[in-house]
Amino acid sequence: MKLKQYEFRINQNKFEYEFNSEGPNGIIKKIVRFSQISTHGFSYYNLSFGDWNNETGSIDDFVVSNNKDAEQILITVAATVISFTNLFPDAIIYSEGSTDSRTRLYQIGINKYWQEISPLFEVYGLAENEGLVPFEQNRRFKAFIGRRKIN
Amino acid sequence: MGMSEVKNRIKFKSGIIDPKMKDHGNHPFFVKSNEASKRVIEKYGLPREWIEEMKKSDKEKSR
Repeated sequence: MKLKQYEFRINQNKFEYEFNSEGPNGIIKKIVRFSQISTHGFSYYNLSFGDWNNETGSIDDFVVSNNKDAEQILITVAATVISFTNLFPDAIIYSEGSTDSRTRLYQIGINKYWQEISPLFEVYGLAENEGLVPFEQNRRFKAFIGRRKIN
Repeated sequence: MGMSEVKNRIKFKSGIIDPKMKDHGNHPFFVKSNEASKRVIEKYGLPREWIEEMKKSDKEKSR
């Protein structure tokens, strides 16, 4: 089975990625950003992504675009993570959805492609009452943190 | 740009650098997301194994 991603563009500082979702609701621009944050003597990148709303000229927080391409979007976001960590191999990346259902969607994506992800990335999940623990398939997490494995 | 293949199921294509692309680093959407992530990271820190590796690496650098 071949899974297709959308083609994406990268801005000059290499922290922001854009692609167009195409489906029954038209073309929706998606923006993925890796923001560097420093705290307690270390730094990490917060991965966040949202839909660009042409009408408001802004990014929508909680919009559900429902363009019937969730899988292709997930694959594309994964491709931006690969691309970003090719450029910044030591980057620690943190991510959680802007809503519980989005976090759940990320979890489904990581679960589904764990076979592909695990040789490349070390991933921890934020578990209720336990803090950060190594990612386990079919376990519910509130957020994720990962970095490229040194090969 | 090159392509990286991960096993046979996914073929990831790299992106194209677009000098015309804007930067939304100061957009409230990202600022809010960054602040939320910082609260979590400040509460839970990094995985213990990573912190130990970092300490070890810092020690080696300072020698």
